[in-house]
Amino acid sequence: MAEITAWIYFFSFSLAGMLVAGTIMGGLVLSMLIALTWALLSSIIHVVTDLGLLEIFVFGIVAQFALLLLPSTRLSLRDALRRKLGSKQDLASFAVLLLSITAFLSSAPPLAWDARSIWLSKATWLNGPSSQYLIAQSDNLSAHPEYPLAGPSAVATVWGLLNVQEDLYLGVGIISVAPLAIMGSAIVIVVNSIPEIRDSTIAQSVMLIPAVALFSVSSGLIVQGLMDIALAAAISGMTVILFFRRHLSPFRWASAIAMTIILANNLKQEGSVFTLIVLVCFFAGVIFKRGQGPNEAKTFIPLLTVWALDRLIWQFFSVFANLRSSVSTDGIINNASELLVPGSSFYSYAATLLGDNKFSWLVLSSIAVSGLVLLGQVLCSKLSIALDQYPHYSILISMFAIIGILFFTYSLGGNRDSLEWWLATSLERIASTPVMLMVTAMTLFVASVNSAVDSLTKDLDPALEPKQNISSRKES
Amino acid sequence: MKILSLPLLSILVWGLPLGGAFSSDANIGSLILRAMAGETEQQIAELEFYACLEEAGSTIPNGEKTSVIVSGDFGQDGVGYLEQRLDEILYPRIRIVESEADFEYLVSPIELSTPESISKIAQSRSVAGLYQCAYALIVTKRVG
Repeated sequence: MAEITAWIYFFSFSLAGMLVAGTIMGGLVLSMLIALTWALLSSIIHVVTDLGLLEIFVFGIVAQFALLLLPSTRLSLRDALRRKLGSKQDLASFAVLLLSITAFLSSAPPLAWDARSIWLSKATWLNGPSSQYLIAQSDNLSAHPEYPLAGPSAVATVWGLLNVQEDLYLGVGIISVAPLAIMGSAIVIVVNSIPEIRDSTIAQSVMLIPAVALFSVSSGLIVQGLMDIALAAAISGMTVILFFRRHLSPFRWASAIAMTIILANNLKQEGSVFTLIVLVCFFAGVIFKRGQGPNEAKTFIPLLTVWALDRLIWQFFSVFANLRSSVSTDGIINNASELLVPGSSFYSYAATLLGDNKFSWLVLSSIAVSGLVLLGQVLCSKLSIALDQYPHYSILISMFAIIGILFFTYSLGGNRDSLEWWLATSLERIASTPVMLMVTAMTLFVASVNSAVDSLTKDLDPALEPKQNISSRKES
Repeated sequence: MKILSLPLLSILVWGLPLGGAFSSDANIGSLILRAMAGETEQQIAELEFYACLEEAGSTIPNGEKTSVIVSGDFGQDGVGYLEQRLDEILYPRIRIVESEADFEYLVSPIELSTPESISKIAQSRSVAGLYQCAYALIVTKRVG
């Protein structure tokens, strides 16, 4: 019963999901993304107004039906329902759903520290009157009071539907689904929007690589109930949507990227920094590209506005709930001057970080992946295969920038005294974001080359119409 | 090109960043097998320990304020670890405070207590409950 309730929750926004994805199966996938986004908004509304999470959840479901009042919505829904179920185009959606169910059923017992003492305990606080959360904060019941609430709110909503105070096993299962819901949604939107990918089994399979990789990226931590993997999926999903933005309809593009930005900001405390890095890197890539910069740059202004508005709302919430500031961030600001002092503690911690096998492997792997992508671009150039280089640069620079953030957090931040303990216990999950970006960078590069080769082949055949490749096609 | 891209990409994805220090021993198949095998003895013992801690707290009525005092050597787990675990186990049924508490929830290693001391504790009027959970002795007492 509990498991079925969780999936009813995830699929409750299928109507809205179909409007974004354009197919029934895609709608089920997007419903999971919408449910998580609505859970985040619900948590803030709940704590500030003391409205129950269940009431807000029901309001959200009803509101999606209100969309049917618009003629354009009814037309889009009709088109989605008319598309034949189970055809080749549904391969990616079906695969994402299967992976999500697999993660749910494979979820571990509720024993991982962060899962139990951070995320699930916050879900318990939210599952009741708002005073329950506020008292827990004022009584200092958490070592991480400033952590965001997207995951805990989704868990608390399902517990509320079951009328239980907590079900930790179910909570771990729900958090295990989140990474696939987010990454899978980005993949499904791209697949459903681009005929060349949608009509090719192999092209769809290439695009599914990041979703499959989530299971192994951080030693199977996806099933432990940790939000780090969901954040990795959100950041990678963002890059996929940004990479293919010119092929998505304005509605699909705006819906998907807004939800992904909001979720990425609110899955873990470092999410907002990572999100901003990706947005700025893609923005810079557009600015530096000749000929298209100014027009395309305008599309990033609303994205940065969404990011800023979300941060403003979180700041308001932090003041309202009296959340303590991050120890890490305060430490970075206070210790930043050590960069100018040779032999200071910063250099000692930096040496420890770079001397660690796993961290140095992370850096070397990033360099190796970047080298492969750049080498591939050079080869494509020599073979006259047209590739848009800037989106690839944006992803690679984002990856290095995020590794840089991790480096400075743990060499300057307030928790650096526990650096060796952190390296032994936490590096794998924290580094899942840059590792997923490596996977996504390679996937998108291979997808681009495939498309460019296809175009080249068809251009050489006088019997076929010439086509533009994915990475350089303008939005129709 | 497309036929080559799938195995090529798979080799790169799993061979390069994941084949190094970041463990690649977890994949979908191994996770499913682990889930089908069920919980290990160690996991069962740990879950039973937390359930016991929660049951020990049931001697404190709903809504009361309690302080949590963990003393003694709990090995690698540490005092701080147990205190944080008790925060999430006991709240929100019981409120956990540092001062002006109505109850005390005291945890100490079982080996520090003798049968005589345990008997003496059990006879005290202020004691609401006395539990042994694996390696820990839990005493809940009314204060004041």
